[in-house]
Amino acid sequence: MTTSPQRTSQNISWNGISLTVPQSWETQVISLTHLSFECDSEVVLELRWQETKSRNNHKLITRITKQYEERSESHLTTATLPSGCEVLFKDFQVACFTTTKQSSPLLIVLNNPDESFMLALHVYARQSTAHPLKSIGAIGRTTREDGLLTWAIQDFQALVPATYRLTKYAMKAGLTVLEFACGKTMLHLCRLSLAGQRLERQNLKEIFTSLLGLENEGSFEHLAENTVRYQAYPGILEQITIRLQRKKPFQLATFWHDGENDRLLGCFMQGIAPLDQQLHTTICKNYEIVPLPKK
Amino acid sequence: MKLFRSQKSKGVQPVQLSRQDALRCRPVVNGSIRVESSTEGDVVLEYPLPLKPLFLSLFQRFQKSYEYPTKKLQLDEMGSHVWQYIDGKTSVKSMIEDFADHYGVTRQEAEQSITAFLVELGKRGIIAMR
Repeated sequence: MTTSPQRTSQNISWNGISLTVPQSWETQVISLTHLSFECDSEVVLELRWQETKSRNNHKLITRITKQYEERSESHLTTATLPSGCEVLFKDFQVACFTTTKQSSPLLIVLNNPDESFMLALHVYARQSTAHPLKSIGAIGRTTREDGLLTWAIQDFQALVPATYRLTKYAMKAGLTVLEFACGKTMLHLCRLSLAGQRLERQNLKEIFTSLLGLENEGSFEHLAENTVRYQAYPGILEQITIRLQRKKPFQLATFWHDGENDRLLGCFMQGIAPLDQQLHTTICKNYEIVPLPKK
Repeated sequence: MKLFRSQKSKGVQPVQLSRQDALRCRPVVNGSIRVESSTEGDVVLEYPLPLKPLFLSLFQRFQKSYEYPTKKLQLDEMGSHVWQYIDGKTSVKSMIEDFADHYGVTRQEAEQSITAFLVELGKRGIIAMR
């Protein structure tokens, strides 16, 4: 629950992919495996990736290029990487495509057969800005620290166990929710902006009770001035009743107000078995806002 | 032979704008809108109801003194803040940037908030895009 100092570049770690992009780029999450980067409101780079089953992915590469040709109504030919960009993709087999022989690649397909993983980069080079490939850092899989995977995008970062898979996300106006699942255990990471205005109308407990639909069977406790913890560990008969309603009886949530960045943060876990309090504390400790620079 | 064929609209088709063009647009306020200020300092807009001619003629028939039906819309603090950008000169893009800086939200959040707000105002006929 600490804040980091401002940086000139930003590390993006999203659903197993990590890369470094300039701080001036805006990251838009299009889907679970699709990111778009914008510079000055213009798309400069798009990333799509997927797990692959076989080591030979020629068919998949052909399909990706065909899709690109249909979308852009152009014919692709093979190209070479711009000099100095080989370092970015050192862990991958690289296939580059462009529409004309002279221009720099517009579509780059990266294949990592050892990790059964494929990535497609759509590059939108413009004369007004530096070439996107020269602005980014090396692309790779997200590093793991003691079984925890880094998630860092836009202005927040978190460490989530590698066993937890992102199932849903919502990046609405003022509210971001990432929903992870590990078997029958669910983890929700919430971020609410304009915290000051929200707290003028409701308190922290009320905001998250209505947001997460918490029922009053659990207990709330104030851990600190700006931190509230909710936990529900019902008795065996109550557990049966809740399970019959197809709900998860065990709930553990911590909400806090990051006054410095004017954000409300929440970490909510629920499951059908008692939850790991240690894990919950670790996730909360590492879930933080990285302040955005003012433009 | 089909007796009832679906009629294709003969009017002007809406222009499909690209994202870049949409961001370059400048919202303009409808001239018939009355802008007031509430006691809390929020903006209150009084706008004419977009009624179809049939309903308007019915309304006129049953209304003794003819006055075009209007509705009031009170904007909240954020809406009032965004309203001051709508001057026919500020583009949607600069509105998004100012909003993101002013409220300390991400660009994506600001874009979603501003576009949703402008769409809502546009639906009510309060603003138009230039």
